[in-house]
Amino acid sequence: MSTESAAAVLPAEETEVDETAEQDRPWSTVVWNDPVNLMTYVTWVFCHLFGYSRPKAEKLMLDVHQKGRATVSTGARERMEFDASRLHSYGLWATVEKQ
Amino acid sequence: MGSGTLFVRDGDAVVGSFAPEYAAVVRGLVSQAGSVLAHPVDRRDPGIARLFPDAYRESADDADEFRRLTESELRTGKIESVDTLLATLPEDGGDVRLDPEQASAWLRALNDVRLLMGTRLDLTDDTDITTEVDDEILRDPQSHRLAELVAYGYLTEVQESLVLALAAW
Repeated sequence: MSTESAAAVLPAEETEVDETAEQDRPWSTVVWNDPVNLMTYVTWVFCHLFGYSRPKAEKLMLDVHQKGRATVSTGARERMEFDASRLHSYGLWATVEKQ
Repeated sequence: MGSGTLFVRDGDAVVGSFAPEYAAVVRGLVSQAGSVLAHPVDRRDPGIARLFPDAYRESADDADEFRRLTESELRTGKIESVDTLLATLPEDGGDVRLDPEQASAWLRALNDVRLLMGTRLDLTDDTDITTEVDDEILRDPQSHRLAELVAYGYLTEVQESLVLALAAW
């Protein structure tokens, strides 16, 4: 993801102060529940892609399964987009949103 | 098609063995997915829409931009996973030995196939495949849906066994 894309989303009418606030607000990568993905596979993907411990990965997987969604990473928008694209390559249903 | 543990860990590798008819089932379904992926992404197909989901729920523009930046690479990666599986699963069945990279590609390919099939079969969180199979046998033992459900159940077993062997939990 280029930094261009992050700049492009800021509305032109935003003031400089608002723009700074916008950039400081963290983004998150969210994984959504679906009826196909296996609990073991989802746990493994979280360990494999993010280096999470098995207990942490299992907790996130259970949140996805029981609550319908879980935030699996937070940070700069470009990094969240990178995480979402990696999750898509593993078939997980991931989206990016502002916290 | 209950076949128990298919894959086991052997050092850094995972190893499994496929009877010819099971290898044919897996290869057939994975090949079909490969053919679908060979075409440009058409999100009007619900299965394809699931493999290439919108990364932004609130903004169509942001979702479009994300797609413009990532879709081509995502599709190439999915095709490569399919190719890896087909290159490492002998047509006549037999032993399969996968390094961690290959095993990971198998998992992605099997998962994509299951997502395509699961969408087609209209599976929900409450769907129990065994019950679904039993109901379908009573309804129409010759149905295409029954064959798909049984194959889906088998791919689920293969994927589950492979992920457990690879993760070495």
